[in-house]
Amino acid sequence: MNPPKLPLRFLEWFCPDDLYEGILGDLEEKFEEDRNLKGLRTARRNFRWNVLRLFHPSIFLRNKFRLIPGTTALLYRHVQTTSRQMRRNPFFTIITLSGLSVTLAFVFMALLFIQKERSFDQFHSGKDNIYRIYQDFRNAETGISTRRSAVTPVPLAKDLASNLPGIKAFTRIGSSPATVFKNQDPFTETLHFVDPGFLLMFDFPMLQGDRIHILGDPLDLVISRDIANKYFGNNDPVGQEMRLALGDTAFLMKVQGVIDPLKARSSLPFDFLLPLEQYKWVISTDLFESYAYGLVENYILLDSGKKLQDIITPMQSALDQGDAAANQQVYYGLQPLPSIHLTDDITGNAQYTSPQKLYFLMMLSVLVIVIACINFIILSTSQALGRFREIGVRKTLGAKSLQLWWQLMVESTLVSFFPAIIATGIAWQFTPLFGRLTGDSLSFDPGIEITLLVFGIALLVAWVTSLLASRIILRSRVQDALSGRNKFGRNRNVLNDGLIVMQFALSMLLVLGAITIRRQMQYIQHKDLGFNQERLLEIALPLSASTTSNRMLVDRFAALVQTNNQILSVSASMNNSRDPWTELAFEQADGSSEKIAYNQIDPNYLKTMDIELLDGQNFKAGSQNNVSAILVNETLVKHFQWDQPLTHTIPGKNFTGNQQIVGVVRDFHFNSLHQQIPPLILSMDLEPLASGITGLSTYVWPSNLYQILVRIGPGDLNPVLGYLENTWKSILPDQPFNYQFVDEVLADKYAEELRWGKALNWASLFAIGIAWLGLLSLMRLSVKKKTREIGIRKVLGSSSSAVMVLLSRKFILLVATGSLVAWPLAWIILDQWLNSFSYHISINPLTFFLVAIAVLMFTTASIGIQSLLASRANPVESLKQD
Amino acid sequence: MLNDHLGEFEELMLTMVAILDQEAYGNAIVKAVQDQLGRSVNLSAVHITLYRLQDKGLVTSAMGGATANRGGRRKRFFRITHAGRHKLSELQEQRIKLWNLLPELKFGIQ
Repeated sequence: MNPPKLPLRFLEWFCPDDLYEGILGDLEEKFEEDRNLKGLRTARRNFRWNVLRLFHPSIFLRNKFRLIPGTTALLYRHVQTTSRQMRRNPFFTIITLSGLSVTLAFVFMALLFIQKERSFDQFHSGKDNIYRIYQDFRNAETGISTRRSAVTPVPLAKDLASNLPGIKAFTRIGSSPATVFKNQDPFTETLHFVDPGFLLMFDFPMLQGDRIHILGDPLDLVISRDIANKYFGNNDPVGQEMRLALGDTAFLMKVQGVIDPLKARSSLPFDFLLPLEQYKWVISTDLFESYAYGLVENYILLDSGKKLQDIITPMQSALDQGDAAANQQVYYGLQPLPSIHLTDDITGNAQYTSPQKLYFLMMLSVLVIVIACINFIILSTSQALGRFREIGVRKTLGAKSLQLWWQLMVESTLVSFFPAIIATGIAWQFTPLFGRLTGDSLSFDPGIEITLLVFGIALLVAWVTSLLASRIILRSRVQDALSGRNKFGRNRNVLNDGLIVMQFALSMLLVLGAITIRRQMQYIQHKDLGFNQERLLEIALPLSASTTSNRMLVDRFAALVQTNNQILSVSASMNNSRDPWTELAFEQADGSSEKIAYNQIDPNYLKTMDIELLDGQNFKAGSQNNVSAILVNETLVKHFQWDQPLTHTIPGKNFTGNQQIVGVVRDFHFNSLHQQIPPLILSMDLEPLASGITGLSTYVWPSNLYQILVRIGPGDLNPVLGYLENTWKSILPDQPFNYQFVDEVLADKYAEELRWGKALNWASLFAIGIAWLGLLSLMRLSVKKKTREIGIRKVLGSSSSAVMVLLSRKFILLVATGSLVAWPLAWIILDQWLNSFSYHISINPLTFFLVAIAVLMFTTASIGIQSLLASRANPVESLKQD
Repeated sequence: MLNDHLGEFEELMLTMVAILDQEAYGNAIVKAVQDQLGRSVNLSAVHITLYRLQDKGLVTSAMGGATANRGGRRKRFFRITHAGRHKLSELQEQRIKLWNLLPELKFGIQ
């Protein structure tokens, strides 16, 4: 019949020692009394209640708080011992500190990058209620989503806002390049066309002008601060007029406001804001009102109480009626604004960062931390060996194991603190470089969270390490420690061996990754694209609504420049090498729909691009029958399974006009190598196809010639470029001369992968370096342990080489095990990555072997030096020890 | 320290410690209050107050000898200090002084 246990333990925990006995005695006396007078239950209840009442500041604050079991003086001694320890072993100290510093610096920068990417679009106060509308195209039979696009029809948001309740505001965002004049000088700028809701929904700071009342008038214009500086310098831009050309029409727009687009934190960068109705002049009025074409991004702001489901279902049913395409169902969805920046499976115009990039970076950080951690553990446990005597003495003098443990903790905390500071310095210095490597500008502005996180990781690494080390040290027996015999348990060997194997496996994984990415990138860069991308120039033509006038312009330009014999050929086309090409959809009689890529060209295109004609003939310049003539690629012929392609026409139930396939060209890669080559039609004019088109997705529209292609022959490029520019100015004084080299554009497309390849190169180099340091120190330890064994063996007549074999055997075994672990892992990961390319190399098992052998040789070499030293040592020296 | 204000409960505890003289420990005080005033006080509250008085220097405490009951645990006995006695008498003087200042009580209808 005792008092309840739990309150007792509680009391014991919080009650100061010197009060405990008196208080508990009183409580128990009271308990017994209560039990006799009022029964057990009441007694227990009173007891509980009394203990609870005692949990009072004036009782538990009476505890003398000692965070460290040991006095402050001891703490000071710990610091002293640590610094002595560090000075005595400069080799280990430098390796430990530098390894951890570099790792932490890397993690620091990775965190900065992740923080920056996650901060995008978060500054809008209504962000949680702003959604981007996307279309989800699903196959009617299978129901599988084929494509999700946020580039949606122009009338969408406006119709929804007038038909559905709960939409507070909306804006559409269309964009187009256009010519803007500063006095008489033309500049090509990207304009954005928006609804007045844009300024109300998004919180871009207005520097000048009134957020509410502008963009209502068709001639209102809002510009960014940079543009204000560029065009007006120090003058006040508000109220000034700017001349710009939209399509074929020139407008005098009036600047009504200056805004800060916060480009570093926004997925919606812009410089010029124009009222959306001006977009009509860029595309045509039909397109402006049509639901068949995706041209703009639609954003809506919901009432704050509105649930997403409340709006999606009515939205779907309101929009369903207009849609006739039978084989393909269009579903509508809403994407929250804050998620836009890190989503890459919905294609749109907003800027995004592939989330894979963040995962990759996080994975790499974790990997590097693990490697550094392992290294740290190996190093500090091997360092602990030298301290057995110290620990032994401490134990003999009566140190409790808790005190020893605290000593190790203090040490590791100190050891972790230095690298964290050094890492901050390194990160501060190298953040811009890291930014370039990851393809973004990055500045060093860590918040308190990131700094704390880095210091926390440092502390965690150090603590985990010292916990492991303390297990080994504290369990040693005093007499062993004092006699200098270092008895390690079997466990420790297994632990260290396991760590070494893991480290080798991880570094090998990184090396294999780096090599494979490099090979794949080389393959892509040197792959035959089906056309010649070297010395090929694209010059942007002015945006004009008329195909004829552009064609005449091209002809004039071509006639002029072809007098220069370094210019081999001049042509023009609709789609460029940077953006995905136009895709047309043709509805079939059975309701299905054929999607075919399209490019408008001129007769010199094949010659200029160096594309081979497999069958039939090219377009003839100036000939009448060209109007209905089209060229197709091999894939299209294969797709329709035609034996005699020249006798067929493109199938489609709406086709009315004449069309004739006059030739077949060899497949060439016009899209990214991540994708298969799609079927393609080339024509001089859209007319033979226009009647059959039932859908479209495109970056440039309407169909027209938007750039001149120039093939330049061997020789110096600069005079040719100067010559081209002069010719351009002579016929188009109002238009800027904007050009790009196709090979540079293509290199740019894979720049991302190239950059990551480079990052991986560095990471793997770093990992190997650290792993090697770990191995080296372990080797040192192992040689030290076997000093006497080696001495005895040599006295008994063993040769130096036999001793070397004895020492190296185990490590070679470890490396071999490491490769066995790394191979399957590397195979799975790399296979997956390569499969994201439609055209890729296959994994070469030979690479795997070679990497393993290289690592093995590297290891043997570094072990060799150590074991050579050990085997050469005079046995007299080593045996003298006892 | 002597200027520290004493609460009613603190004063009661101080008085009880003085009354019980050599025998003042937690439970004894609870019982004495019950016997003398018919007022039931909580043991824990008594303890908390006693330590507070000890901090103020009005009582001291020492552990007693081993006991047979209460699990063999010793008792913590409290004794009033000179400062405590002084405080008590000061309180008493103040009270008498105030009492004397009271106008004579006359019950009547004005």
